[in-house]
Amino acid sequence: MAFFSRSTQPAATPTVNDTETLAPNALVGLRNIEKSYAHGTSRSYVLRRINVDIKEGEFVSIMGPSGAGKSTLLHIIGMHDSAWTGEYYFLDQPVHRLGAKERAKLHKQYIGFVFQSYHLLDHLTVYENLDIPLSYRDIKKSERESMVCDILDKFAIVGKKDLYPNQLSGGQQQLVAVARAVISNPKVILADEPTGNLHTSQGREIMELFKKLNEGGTTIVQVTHSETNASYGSRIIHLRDGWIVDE
Amino acid sequence: MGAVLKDIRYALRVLRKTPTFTFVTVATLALGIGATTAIFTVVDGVLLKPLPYRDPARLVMLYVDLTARGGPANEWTGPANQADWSTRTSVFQSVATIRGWNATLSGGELPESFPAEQTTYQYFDTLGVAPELGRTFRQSDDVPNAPRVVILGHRVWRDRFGSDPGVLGRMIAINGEDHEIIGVMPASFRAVQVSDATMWRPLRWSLTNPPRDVAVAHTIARLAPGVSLDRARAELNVFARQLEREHPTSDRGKGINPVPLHEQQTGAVRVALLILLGAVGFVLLIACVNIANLLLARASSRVREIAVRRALGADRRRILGQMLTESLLLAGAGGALGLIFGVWGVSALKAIAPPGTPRLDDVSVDVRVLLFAAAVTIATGLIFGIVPAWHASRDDMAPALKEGGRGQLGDGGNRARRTFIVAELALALMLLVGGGLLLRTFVALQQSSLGFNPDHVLTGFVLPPPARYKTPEQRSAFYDRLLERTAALPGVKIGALSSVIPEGGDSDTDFVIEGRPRAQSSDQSLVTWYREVSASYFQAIEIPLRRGRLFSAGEAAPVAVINETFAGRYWPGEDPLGKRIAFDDDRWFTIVGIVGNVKVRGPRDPGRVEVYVPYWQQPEAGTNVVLKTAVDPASLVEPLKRAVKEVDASVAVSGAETMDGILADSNSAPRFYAMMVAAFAALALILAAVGIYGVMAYTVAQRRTEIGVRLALGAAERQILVLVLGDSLKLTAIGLVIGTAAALVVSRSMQSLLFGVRQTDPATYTLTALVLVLVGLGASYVPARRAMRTDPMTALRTE
Repeated sequence: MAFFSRSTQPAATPTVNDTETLAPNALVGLRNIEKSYAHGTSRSYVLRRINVDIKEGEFVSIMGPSGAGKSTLLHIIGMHDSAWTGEYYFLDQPVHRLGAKERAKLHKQYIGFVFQSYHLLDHLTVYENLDIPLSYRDIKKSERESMVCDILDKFAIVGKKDLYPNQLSGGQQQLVAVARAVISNPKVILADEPTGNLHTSQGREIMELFKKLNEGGTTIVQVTHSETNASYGSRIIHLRDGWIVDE
Repeated sequence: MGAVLKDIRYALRVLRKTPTFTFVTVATLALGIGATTAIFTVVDGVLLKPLPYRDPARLVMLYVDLTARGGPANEWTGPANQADWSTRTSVFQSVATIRGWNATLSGGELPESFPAEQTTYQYFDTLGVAPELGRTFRQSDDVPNAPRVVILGHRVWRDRFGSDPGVLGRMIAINGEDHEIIGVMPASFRAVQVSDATMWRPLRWSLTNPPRDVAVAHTIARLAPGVSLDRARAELNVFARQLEREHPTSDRGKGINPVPLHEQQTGAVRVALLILLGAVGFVLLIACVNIANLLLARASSRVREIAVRRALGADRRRILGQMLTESLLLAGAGGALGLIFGVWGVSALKAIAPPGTPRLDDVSVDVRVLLFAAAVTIATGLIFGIVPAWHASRDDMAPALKEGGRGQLGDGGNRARRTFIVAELALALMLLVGGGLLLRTFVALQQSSLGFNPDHVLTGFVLPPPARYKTPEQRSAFYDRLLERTAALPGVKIGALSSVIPEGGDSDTDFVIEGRPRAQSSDQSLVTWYREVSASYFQAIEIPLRRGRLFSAGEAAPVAVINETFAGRYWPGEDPLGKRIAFDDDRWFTIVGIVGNVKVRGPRDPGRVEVYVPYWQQPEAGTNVVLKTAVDPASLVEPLKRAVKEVDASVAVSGAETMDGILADSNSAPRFYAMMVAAFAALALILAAVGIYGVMAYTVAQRRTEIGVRLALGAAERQILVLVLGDSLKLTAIGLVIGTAAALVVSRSMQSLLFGVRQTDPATYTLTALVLVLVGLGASYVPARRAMRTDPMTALRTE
């Protein structure tokens, strides 16, 4: 990750909205979000004055060159990162004012994550990998069983339920990872370069899957380098050097 | 050779580059090797080194074996034994008998009492030692009424006679009798029976028709050349049967029991010392396991380096050699530092060893110890180095060379690391159980009721010179004056006398009961432990009266007080009060009271048959002054000595000590062993905690991505904490199960050291397991918290 100091900020001026003017139906509202690291007396900025609204049911792609701050922004939206300044509203809840517990609760209830490297747990079977997010949500075992069976059916991976991740192809692993992200029925799926490690055809399948989920009402926010992948979405946010340069 | 030097050079460079790792490893090893070396030095000096006598393997202690009569196998001996064994057997080159002796030298401000031995003339020749000055005893010195001669120990010669070589031929008064100094023993000489004896004189027994039932001494013998212990035992058996036929009244059921001198001298501490050696060995093993784990973790971070070496053509042996060179260098540094710790440790151990530990003077760091330390060093280097080296040379290195390969050892390394931790926990549990059982023993010994109250009691032994106090009347008068004077000392609440005090030796005697048939032979004799006391003795140490009355001061009629065991044994269901018993002079003593049992030989004493008679009825040579004080009893030591001097200027007080001090001394051995094992257990626990911490920290670092994923999928911090602690708990549980099973087996060897606690004591095992679980959880808590705080964003990006 390359960081840029304050003196390198581009001339582009981002749009500034007030918190009061949060878009109607906004699932995510970011106001003046900044993230930086101190280096002695200077400070390197990763994100600068990010102001974004994402409405429920949108399919948003975040694009930009390496080091632009795309993944950082995604992790902030995903509430994995709490070391930032500014205001963040999620379903009208001021995330920036919430404690770690409340944030974790929001995150558990509404957000699913898909990673570029799938991040299935190697020593767990497909079934167990799908069960993991549910187990963290204090859902009863019998209920979890039916939920996992449903999702195995829905994703047509029943035959693979007892296999370990290293027995699956990359595409199959990402399929399981997406299944894992949606199993707890999140409002939004955050995907960090979900097809980065896949062949074109496998990537296409995953994107089709996202499209289908989006059509079903799930909000999708993905980080991608691929124009093709971005074209599945309804909106593209361009980042460069931590700034939103185009929307 | 060149390759070896290159390995050493490279290893030194690697170790210099990782100073923290090198320091921790060397320090851990130094502690382990130092402690092991120190304990080995003591074990070597006490148990392994030959005794400081000529051809010591041929020396045996000879005991009268009374097991056929239901008595001990090592009964004391007397003049008849000396006469029989020295002249009528062929298995011994020489036989000598030894009797403890209190030698009082006057001449200083206060008379001074020295521990000493009276022996038959063969003593020094039997041991094969020569004097530094003068001569040893001749047969002519050792006959009744021979002129008194004495041989001085080196210490008394130095301290009292300024190492004067002209001391030979000088006459000195000992116990009021003139003795001619005929020799001085070298500083290296160790007495056999009274280990700190400083003077020796002949017993001057008459061995013509000696009494056959006297048991007042100990006998040592040198086996004749070529005679094995087994042969001696066989021939002595035949000889004992012959004596039985010759003296059916006195010798029926008596055997002869030869015990190698080395076994007799060190037998009491053997088990305890070997347990200590085992304990410290466990600590060293745990230290090795910890270092092996450190090396495994380090090898893991060096996978890429090793893979490059392999890719460049280094074969497996070469890699193994390089890794082992590093281990041995670390072990060498640890060993050298450990030797310094070991030397300090030996001094400390000698300073805190319990009184009465045999051969402590023989304990020193010498070539044998250096060789041991070197062997341990090499062994530890190999033990902790071989597994990591083997893993590093075995694992498939190809992934490490690929782009992005993070350089981790495979599952093999992880398995080994976790196995090590389980072994470490099992060893620590065994040590903790051992330490716990010994500590509970010590506490039980401390809390055990001895049947009297030792608080605020001062005692000291007083021996009126037999040469001047020959008759019972003279001795009785001396004791009267002694009691009167010492009881009047300011600060004394009750003054008393007793021929026997708790933990101060004992004496027994035959007796008969009026109206019951007399024994026809000695094996049928009734025997009781026998004390001559003043009337005030029972109050002074608070021995409770159970029935009847105590005798009063100066009571003229011969009366006796017995203890509960005596009453129960000889008058079960009957009233012993008013019954009469007689000792060797056939005077009848009427039993007037029954008192509680006193455990004279300490808490393990089963409670013996005891009788108390007034000292004025038949006063023995020597008594203990027993003072119950209102002030700190230790403050009355000097006043006591002065009071005794006032009674007779030539009489010294020997062993003046508080009763609490005497009991503390008698408990010092169990305390010492308990403290040592507990200290080793604590060290083991710390090492185990460090080991668990290391493994869990490493595991958490390895599982960082996984933990990041779990957090990203919604795991609460608490769930991550439970995940890591659960993993640690799993290892701890396996260690506990294995350790408990092993402890149950190993603790059997400790049975003889335990008191008041069973070897399988559930409380000790439960508490120990609990401590270990807490330590396991505690040591894992920091890595677990670190896991809990994992930033999923960072963790997921460092893939």
